[in-house]
Amino acid sequence: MDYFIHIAIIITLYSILSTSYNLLIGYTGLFSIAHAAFYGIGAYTSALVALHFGASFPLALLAAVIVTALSGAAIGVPALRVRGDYLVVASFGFQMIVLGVMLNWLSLTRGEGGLTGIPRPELFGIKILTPAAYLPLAVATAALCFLVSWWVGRSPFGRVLKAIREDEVAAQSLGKDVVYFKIVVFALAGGLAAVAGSFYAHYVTFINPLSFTLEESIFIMAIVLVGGAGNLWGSLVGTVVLVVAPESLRFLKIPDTIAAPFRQILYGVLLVLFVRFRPQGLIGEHSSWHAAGDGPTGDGLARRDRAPAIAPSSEMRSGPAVRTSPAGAPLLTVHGIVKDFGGIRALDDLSLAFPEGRITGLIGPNGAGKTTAFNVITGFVEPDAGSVLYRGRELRGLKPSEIARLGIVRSFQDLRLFPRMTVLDNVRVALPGQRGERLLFTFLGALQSVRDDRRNLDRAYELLAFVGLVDRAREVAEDLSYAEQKLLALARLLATEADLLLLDEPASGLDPASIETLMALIRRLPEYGKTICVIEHNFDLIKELADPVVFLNQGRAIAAGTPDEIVTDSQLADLYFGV
Amino acid sequence: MLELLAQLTVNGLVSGSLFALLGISFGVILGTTRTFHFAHGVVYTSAAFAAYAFREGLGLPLWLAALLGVGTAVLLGVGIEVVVYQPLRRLYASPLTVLIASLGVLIIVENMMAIFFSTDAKVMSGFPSHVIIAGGVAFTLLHLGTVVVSWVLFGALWLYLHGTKTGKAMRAVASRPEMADVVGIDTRRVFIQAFAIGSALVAPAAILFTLDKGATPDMGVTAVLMASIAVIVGGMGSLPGAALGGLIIGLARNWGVWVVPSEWQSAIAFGILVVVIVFRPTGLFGAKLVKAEV
Repeated sequence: MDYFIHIAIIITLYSILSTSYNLLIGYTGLFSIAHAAFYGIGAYTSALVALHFGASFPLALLAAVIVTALSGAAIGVPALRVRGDYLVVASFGFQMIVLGVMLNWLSLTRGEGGLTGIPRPELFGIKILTPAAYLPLAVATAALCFLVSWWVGRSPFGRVLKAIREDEVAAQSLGKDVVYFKIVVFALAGGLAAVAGSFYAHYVTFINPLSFTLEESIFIMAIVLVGGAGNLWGSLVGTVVLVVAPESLRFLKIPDTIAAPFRQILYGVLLVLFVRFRPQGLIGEHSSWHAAGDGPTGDGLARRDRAPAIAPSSEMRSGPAVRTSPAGAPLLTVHGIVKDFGGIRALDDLSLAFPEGRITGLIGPNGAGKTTAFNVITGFVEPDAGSVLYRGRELRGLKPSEIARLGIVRSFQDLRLFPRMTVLDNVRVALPGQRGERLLFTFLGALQSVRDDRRNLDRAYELLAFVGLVDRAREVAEDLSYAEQKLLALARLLATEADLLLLDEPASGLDPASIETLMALIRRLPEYGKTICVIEHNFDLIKELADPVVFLNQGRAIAAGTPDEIVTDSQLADLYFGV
Repeated sequence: MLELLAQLTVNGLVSGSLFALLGISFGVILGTTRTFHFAHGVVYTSAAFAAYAFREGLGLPLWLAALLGVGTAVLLGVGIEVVVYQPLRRLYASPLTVLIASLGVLIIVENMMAIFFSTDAKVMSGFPSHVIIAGGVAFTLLHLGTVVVSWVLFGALWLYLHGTKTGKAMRAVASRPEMADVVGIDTRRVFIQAFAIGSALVAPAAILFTLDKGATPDMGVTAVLMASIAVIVGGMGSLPGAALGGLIIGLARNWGVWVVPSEWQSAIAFGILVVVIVFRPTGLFGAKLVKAEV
C-alpha cells in the first residue's frame, strides 16, 4: 500500500514540475533545459534552511521559492534580453553548473553523499511522518500550484505569453514589453519548481545531486511534450503516464543498473516519436474537452449592430470624432531621416507629415523605403539621423512596445497574426491597459481582473463585428482564409486603440470583392478619430482612399499632394508606371 | 609564480585547443543547418567508445582504431540527420522541435552506451606518454599532439570551405539558405555534408580526450556544452570565432584556478557566456544579431 501512496506522491511532485515547465515551453515558447536545476535549488535551499536554522517547513518552503525565483531571474535577465537560442545554451550551462556546485561545494552540500536528516514537515503542531499523512498535503499543494498555473494561463498575462510564443515581433508591435513578460514567467516557473523541490526534500528526508540532473530536466520536458505543450491538463496526463509506465520495469526484475538507463532510453524514444508523429501531444492545446466558454456576454451581442467602439477611449466614443488639434495639422512628423543598410542608403533625408484625421497614402517603386519608414517610426529600426515627432514628442530611442503604447501601431505585409491563438484572443490580447497583464494583479485583483476581462471580451466582439468576423471568433487564426486573416489583422490593430495606424499593403494579395470590403472599413476609420498612413502599390486604390498622397523614391519623399496632383506629375509617372 | 602562470597557460592552450575543435565541429553544423545539434555530444562519445572498443577489445593499432572511431562518429552523425532531423524539417517543424528531438537522441544514445560500457572511465592505451619539460613547464607528447591536431584540422576546414566547390556551397547555404536553393544547390545534400564534416571533426577531440582522461558515457554532455558556449562566445556563424571562443574558455578555466575556488571551476565558462551575452550579444566575431531562431 505504501508503495502506491509513494507513487501518488511522486505524481503530485511531477505534476507541479510539469505544469510550471509548461508555462515556459508550452505557453511562452521559452526553451529552457534547467527545470531540474530549479527543482534542485528549491530542494537544497529548503533542506539547508531547515537543517541549519531549524526553520519550520513553511518558512523553508518560502525561502526555497524566493531563492529559486531569484536565481531564475539571474539567468533570465541576461539570456532573455537577446534571442531564444541563447536561452537554450544559457539554461544548459546553468543546469550543469548547479549540478557541479551541488557535487563540489562540499562544506555546504556535502557533495555526492547529499544532505540527510531533513526534518519531516510540521504543520499546526502536527508532525507529518507517514507517506499516508503526507499524501493529502502533497495533493493539496499540487492542486494549488495547478490552480496558480491555470489562472495565470487564462489571465491576460497568459494570453500575452502565448502571443510572445506565436510571434514576438508582433507582440512588441502591439505594445507588449516582451522581455518583462519573459522574465516574470521564468521566475514564476522557477518558484513553482522550488515548491516541488521543497516538498520532495522534506518527504524523502535525504537528497543528493543525482535527482537534479540534465536527464531529470529532459524527463520533465518529455512529460510536457507527451501530455501536450500549451495545455496544463495535458501535463497532468503526461505526468501520470510517464511516472507510472516505467514502474512496470520494477516487476520485470531487471537489475537497477540496467533499469535506470533503460528508463532514460524510454523517455528519449518517447520524445523523438512524439515530436515526429504527434507534435501536439496526447491532448492538444485547443482540444475541445477542456475549453472553457468564451462567448460574448449578452451585452456584447446586443451591441453588435451599434457603432463599433474603436475610438481611442470610451469617453470619446459617444460623441463625434474628437480632435485634439485643428483638423489636418500633422499628428506625426518625420524629419531628415537617414538609414543605411551596409552600403545601401534605404532612407535618404526622408521627411513626412501625417495630418490628423486623414488617410495619407505612401506610394513609390519597390525599394523606395516605404516599409523601412514604418520600421523607423515604430522603433523597429534605429535611424542613423533625423527625428520622429509624435504630438511634439521625440520617438527616437524608444522601444517598439513603448511607441505602440503611445498610440502608433503598424501592420505587417506578412500579417504576423498569432496563428495558433483563437481569432478572439488575437484581438483580445491587443487591447490596451489591461491590468491583468501584471502578474500580481491577476491574483490580488482577481475579481477586478475577471470583470475587466468580461468587458474586454465584449470590446473584442465589437471589433470582430466591425470587420465581420464574429462567427469565426472561436476558430484558430491559422484556419481563416487569407482575406479573413487580413480583416483580423485590422481588428487586432484597432484593438490597440492607437490613434495612428500604419498599414503596410493592406490590400495586397486579395480578390476584388475582399479589397472592396477592406477599403470600405479603412475609409470609415477617420470618423472614429483615427489617423492613417497606408502603403499601397495599386494607384487606383490610393486614389479612392488617400489624401494626401506622398511619393517615395530612393529613400526620399519627392512629391506630395492630392492624388490628382500626383497622377498628373509626368516625372512621377515615368518613375512609377515605367512608361 | 611566473612558472605557475606559464604552466597554467600551457594547460589552458591544450584544453583550449580541444574546445576550439569542439566549437568548430558544432559550429559548422549549426552555421550550415541552423540545427542546435545537442546530440553532437553522443556523436563525440561514440567516437571515443568505438576507438576504445577497437583498440582494447580487438587489439587493433591505435591509428586504425582512431580511424574507425572517426568513421563511427560520421555514421552516427549523418544517421541522426537523415533518420531524425530531416523528416522533422520536411514537416516544417520549428527549430525548437528539432532541438527537442536532439535532446531525445542525446539521452537515448548516452544511456545505451552506459548499458554497454558501464559508467566507469575507459582509458585507451597506445600513445607514448612522454613528458616534455621546457623552461620549467611540463607537458606530455599527447598535449602537444592535441594542440597540433586541433589547429591542423581547423586549417583544413578553412581551406575546404574556401577552396573547394562543395565547401563554397556549404558557405552559401550557411549565409542564405533560401537563395542557395534558388541557384540550384541541393540543400539536403549540403546538410548531410555538414553533419559528416562536423562529426568527423569532433571524433579526434573525443579520441584525444580518451587517451588523456578516459571515456565515460556522460562525457559528451560537457563536451557539447563547451562547444555551444564556444560558438556563442565567438559569434554564431563564425568558425574562427568558435575556435577563438574555445581557446578563451580553455585559458580562462585554467587561469581561473588562481582566483576561483575549485567548486566553482565549472562556472567559469558559464560566466564568460553571460558576460558575452550581456555586453556583446553578437559574440566576438559575429557580424549581426540574426532574428530569433528558436
